[in-house]
Amino acid sequence: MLRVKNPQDLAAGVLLFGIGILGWVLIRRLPMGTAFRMGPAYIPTVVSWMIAGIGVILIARSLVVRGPRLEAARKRPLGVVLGSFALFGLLIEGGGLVLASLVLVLAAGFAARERRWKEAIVVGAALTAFAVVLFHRFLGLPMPVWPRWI
Amino acid sequence: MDLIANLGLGLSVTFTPTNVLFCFIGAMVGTLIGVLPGIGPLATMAMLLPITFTLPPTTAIIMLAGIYYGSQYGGSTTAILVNIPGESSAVVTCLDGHQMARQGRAGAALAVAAIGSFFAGCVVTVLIALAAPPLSAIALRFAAPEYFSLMVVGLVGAVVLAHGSVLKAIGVVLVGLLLGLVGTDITSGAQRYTFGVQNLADGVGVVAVAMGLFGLTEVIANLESPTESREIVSQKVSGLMPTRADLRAAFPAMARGTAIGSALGVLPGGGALLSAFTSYIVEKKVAKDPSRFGRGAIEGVAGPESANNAGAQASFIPMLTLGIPSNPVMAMMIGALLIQGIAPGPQVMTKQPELFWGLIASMWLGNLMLVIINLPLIGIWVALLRVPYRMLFPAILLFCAIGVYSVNNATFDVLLTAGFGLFGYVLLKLGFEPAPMLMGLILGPMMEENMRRAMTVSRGNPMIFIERPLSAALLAIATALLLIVILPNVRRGREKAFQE
Repeated sequence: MLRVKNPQDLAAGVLLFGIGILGWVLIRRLPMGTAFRMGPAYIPTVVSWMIAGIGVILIARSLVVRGPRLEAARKRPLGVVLGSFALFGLLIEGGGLVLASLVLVLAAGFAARERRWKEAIVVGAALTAFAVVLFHRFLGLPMPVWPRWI
Repeated sequence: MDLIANLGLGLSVTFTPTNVLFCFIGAMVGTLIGVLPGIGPLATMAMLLPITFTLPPTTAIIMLAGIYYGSQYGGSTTAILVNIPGESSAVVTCLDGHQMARQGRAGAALAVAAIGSFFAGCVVTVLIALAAPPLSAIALRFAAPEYFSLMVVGLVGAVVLAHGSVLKAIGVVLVGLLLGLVGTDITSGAQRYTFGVQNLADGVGVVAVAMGLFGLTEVIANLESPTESREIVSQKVSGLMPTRADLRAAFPAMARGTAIGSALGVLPGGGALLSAFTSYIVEKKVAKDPSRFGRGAIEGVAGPESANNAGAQASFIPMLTLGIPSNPVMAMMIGALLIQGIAPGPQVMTKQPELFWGLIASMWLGNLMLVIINLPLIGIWVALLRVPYRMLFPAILLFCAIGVYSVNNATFDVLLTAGFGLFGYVLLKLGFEPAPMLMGLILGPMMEENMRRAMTVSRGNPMIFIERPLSAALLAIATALLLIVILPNVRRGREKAFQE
């Protein structure tokens, strides 16, 4: 009876195996070529196989050698950080630097356990002003500052 | 003497008002982020990239270099005063430096750390100036097989020196290589892994990956861990000058630390962190009375502090002469130079001597500035530590976002960075170290190109990598390195070294 002795390595192995297989599948329709004249798929294929191979070894080892458990992920900081970052990207072109910055800072405030709205607004305003002065005024970076609809 | 003429050229480049100013800004920003835990030089360099677009390449690289060695200074300040390593390489400084502070000798500890760093900085500056020309001369004779083998050594080095499982480190390097192959294939023009997305045609941006893996993941991890209360033991720092006995004890440690840092900094995967750890272990071994360590031994501050600065600066050698990054910070530096339209490699020294020698001379100037300016500013740095993380991290996120966006003015890059933040988080939870991935990403396209060229020359015979002596020697080094970590007893020693 096989028992998983190292859940962390098992998951790591599955991840690598998946990446390797995906890398191979996605490149298959391009020509391989030969070792003499390598096609665009040659090296990606070899690297993908190697990744998948390492994944298999890790999976096999996880059944034999004892190791740490998987740590639980805390979804809140993860979601808030990635979400607020992505929001900035989505807002910057249509909404401009001011709106995007404010939204990022206010959204990031959700990561903390207790909400401090006043503080978040003050910090947000200060950071936004600083960003506009530094990146727009001084550096003259070509990015919109105000929303397009204004 | 060429050396003096070259350094003269470097000094003349450095001592223009703009370059002095940006050297200062780099060193100051570096110290600032060195003081603050939870933000490293990599993310900072990425944040400041937009500033570098408007600068000439030499000024830009001078500033970025200042951030790296400046962060080594700042990290030690908080380690000594607050027992918080602002930078991972200052972890060992906490051991004895903070003990010294508790005994009322904070001033001496800070001064020795600063003097040691400055000493190391001066020595390594000369070392780079001496070592770079011959190394570049050798590198210019390299053909495709040698380059390929050299990069293999680089990647193996990154694997060997990564924390944790060797197997996982190899896996991460390979994933990095695969990521490096995303985009238009230069030889055939075929689109690889681009899914028809125009933004991916030029490949995955180094900045996006570095910022995602190191900036965002770090913020998430910091928010996850319970908020530690930072107790600031800010007793008055009185009497900066160490006593004569202190200096006599510290100087040999500085010299040894500098030597260790210079040697380990050059190695692929090496740099500040490893140098500091090694130096501490060496000092403990050399000491007549090892039991003093951990209770405020001045050698335990002088050695590692010299070593981390030496290591940080020595890691520029392979980047400048061979165009190969020895650690993720150098990978980022290459990314910044590429944006400026400069491909780092042996030709930089001859084609852009003012960039090369200007950077070297600026390191000396930057180190001098750090010593003079930093000691009086210590009060400000400590006060900064009182800023709570909940106010700090939105600022980090915002500047990261602006930095990433401004590279190509592309929303896509911002979203890609968020994606790599998620990937970095998964890697963290699964016990992978992300640093080798960045090196794989940078080296991926170069390795493929050289591999193809070599195989075309040899008509598809892989023996070419072994038949050419230089290439064979490099591959032998790579194999030996790999064997060493796989052998069990060395592995145990390595784990021990990282734990200490």
